[in-house]
Amino acid sequence: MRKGDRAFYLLLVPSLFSSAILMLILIHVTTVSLPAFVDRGLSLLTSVMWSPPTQDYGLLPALVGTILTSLISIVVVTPISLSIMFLVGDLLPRGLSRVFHRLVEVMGALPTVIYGLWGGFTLSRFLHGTVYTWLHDYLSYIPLFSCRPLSGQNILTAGVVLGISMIPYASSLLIEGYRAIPSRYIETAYSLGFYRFETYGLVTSIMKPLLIASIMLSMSRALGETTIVALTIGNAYVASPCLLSPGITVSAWIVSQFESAFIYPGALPALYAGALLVMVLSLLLSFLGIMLISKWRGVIYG
Amino acid sequence: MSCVVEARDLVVRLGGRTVLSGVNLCIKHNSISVIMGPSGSGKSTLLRVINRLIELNPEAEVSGRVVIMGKDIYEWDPYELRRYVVLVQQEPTPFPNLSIFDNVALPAKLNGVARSREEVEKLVRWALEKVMLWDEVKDRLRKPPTVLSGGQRQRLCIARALVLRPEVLLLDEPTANIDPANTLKIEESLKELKEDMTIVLVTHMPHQAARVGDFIYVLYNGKIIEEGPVGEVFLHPRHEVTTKLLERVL
Amino acid sequence: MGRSTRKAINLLVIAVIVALGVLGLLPLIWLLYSTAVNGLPPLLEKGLSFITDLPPTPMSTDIGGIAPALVGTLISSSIATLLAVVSAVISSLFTREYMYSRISGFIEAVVRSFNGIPTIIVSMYVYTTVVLWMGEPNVVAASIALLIAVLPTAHYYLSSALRSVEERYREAALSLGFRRIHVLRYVYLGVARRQVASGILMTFIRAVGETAPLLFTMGFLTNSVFQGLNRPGNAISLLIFIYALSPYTNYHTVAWGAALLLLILVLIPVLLIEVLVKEARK
Repeated sequence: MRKGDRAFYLLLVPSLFSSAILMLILIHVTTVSLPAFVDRGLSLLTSVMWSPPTQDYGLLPALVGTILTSLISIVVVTPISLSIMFLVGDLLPRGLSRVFHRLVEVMGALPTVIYGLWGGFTLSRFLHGTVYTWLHDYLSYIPLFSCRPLSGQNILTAGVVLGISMIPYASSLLIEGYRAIPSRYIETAYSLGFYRFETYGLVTSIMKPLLIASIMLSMSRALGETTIVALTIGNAYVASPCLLSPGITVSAWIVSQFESAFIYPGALPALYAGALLVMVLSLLLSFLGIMLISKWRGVIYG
Repeated sequence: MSCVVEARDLVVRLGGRTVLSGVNLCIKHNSISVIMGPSGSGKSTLLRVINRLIELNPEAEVSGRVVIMGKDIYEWDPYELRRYVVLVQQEPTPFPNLSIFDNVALPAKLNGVARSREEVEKLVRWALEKVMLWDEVKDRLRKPPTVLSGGQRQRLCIARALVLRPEVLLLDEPTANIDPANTLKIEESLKELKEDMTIVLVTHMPHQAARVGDFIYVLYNGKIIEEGPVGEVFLHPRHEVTTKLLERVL
Repeated sequence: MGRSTRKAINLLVIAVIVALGVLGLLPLIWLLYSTAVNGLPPLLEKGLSFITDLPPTPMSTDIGGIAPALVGTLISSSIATLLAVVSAVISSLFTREYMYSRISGFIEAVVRSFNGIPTIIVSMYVYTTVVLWMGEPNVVAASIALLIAVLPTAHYYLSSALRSVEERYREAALSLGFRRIHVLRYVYLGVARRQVASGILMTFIRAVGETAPLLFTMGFLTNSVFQGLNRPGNAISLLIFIYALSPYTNYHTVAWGAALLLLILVLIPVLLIEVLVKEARK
């Protein structure tokens, strides 16, 4: 860069706007939550109590709910988005593939609050009447399905709707990756007499790092998602291994407690501690996912 | 005699590779100087140094001096410099989002060459006539340049450069991918244009050099190995590379 | 493995893929259907007054309207989109012009990891800074929270738009003495104007659909349509969220009506983008 390039500095200042905000948010969340870690130590993570009058604040139910819903959403979104990738990238004829792809993109443009509304009212009632009762009747010896489903709003519903809402995101990541694979690999497979499923096996193994990255990035989104979860999980502050019981996540708990946390001493740092844990995990997954993708691209083109 | 473009011990490295190693030249007023050389000899780089486009490449290191109209290129404001020393690229690049008319009018407006509507219209017509394109496009000035053929697009790009009334016109193999009819028209225009400006033409076609050139510089491995009036060099090439270039072996 | 076994497995795998793919699109159709079926009755019943009336009280028989939410959404999303686009044009111009500089790499990395910040935390941050400072939740605070939430989206689409402009056009413009600002205006924003326009629309779609950033910043205005930028407001997504969590059935009805309206508000720009893309392909 030649010196005296004033445009460089003029443009640089606003360009660093987002970096500054990121820093400020990180500092803010860390400083507010610090007392909670210092005062409460491990009990912050292991206690199931949230009782402002006695100043007992434990995050276990929220953390369990966050992890469970995120894992369920990954189980839902991964096979579906992988199938959509094969459908759009290879199986469907050109015209149909484009229509299919567009519809998935439309799905991605829908506000999360509509997913939440539909999940909390329509899908949850449907699942309660069919799948959940069946799961409990026949598989109740598995702890995950051991509790009686009282309503459709529970951890499993929240995870499923979360997974559905991420189908467009994960699919577009995978489709983009699929199109980046040089066609010679796929042509080689077919010319060796591979069947489609065998070629797909090969493609999946080539795309393994990208698949992992897409799981990480989806997970990163699922951890912090608020709207859908709050409308579908039933909002009960209990830590239960049973997916058919209502639960809570860190973000949904923030929604219901944030404003009152300013009144009760100690509540705000505890709430922020949950936010910090989710944010750090989410940033880490997001960063690793992005690194993995760019590394994979280097390998593919290299 | 003074030079319009003068290079002294010009050395250019691109990412550690030496592309030009000690070029000296003096390009005279109202002439067409032809630069020939095998591919990779540094012809395009030489043009890109002259109007400082080379700065877009962060790996480029330039040493030595280039003086334009008596002023070192680094004393010029680069944008001002490029307005007087205009480069036409090998690939025609009319802006696809602008109409044929606007492609020619925009540079003139931005650089303040013409201000009123009439002035701009007159200037556009003048430029398009200079490249013999006016009659072909006068009924579709508002159409996008995509309706034109490759050769017409390249002439449009030359017209776009002409409206700036440059002192120096740099052309990087402007006819490389263009049919013979359009090539001839471009050559005709150039011969007429040298009355108003100084032209530096990179070409790989000896016939073109012979038809339009006044002076020739032969670049080889980043050095000028032969130079002189076109007639002399063509009749008595002193260097083996020049002979091969003229026979189109290289 | 025998040929017939392979053939059978092949068919089975393809069948599973097709089934899962269809299952993936099923929610879209179901969701659109539910929203239409539940949202149409309140819209038809109230007609135009659904967007001009104030929201109902829990016990009222009339379902009222969502005027404050519509106004608030339009205002806050427009402010957020405008500011996000301006900021993203600058940052993507920087990363495009200085593509190989280390700072560009840093900016790209930061903007992309921004997706890892839950938007609810953005809401908490803006609450403790802007809302507490201004004394009450308000439309400006909500717009700032939205702006932060949609910034990565805006940068992503605009930087891809600018990067889609071939280098030769940039060089051609610079060769003609264009200044940087003119290269931005006539080359980047000109040659890629369709991508830029769809990027702006995508940013708007995101802003309209976001809920979490508004939770602690917007307030919940129901007794008048608009009180000013420094006063509490409302938003469609926020209204749907809060009413869906409430126990009152008339609130649920309004939430569905609002959801249908929100869907329309989002699908219009989606269709516009479709038209833009189609024209570009011509």
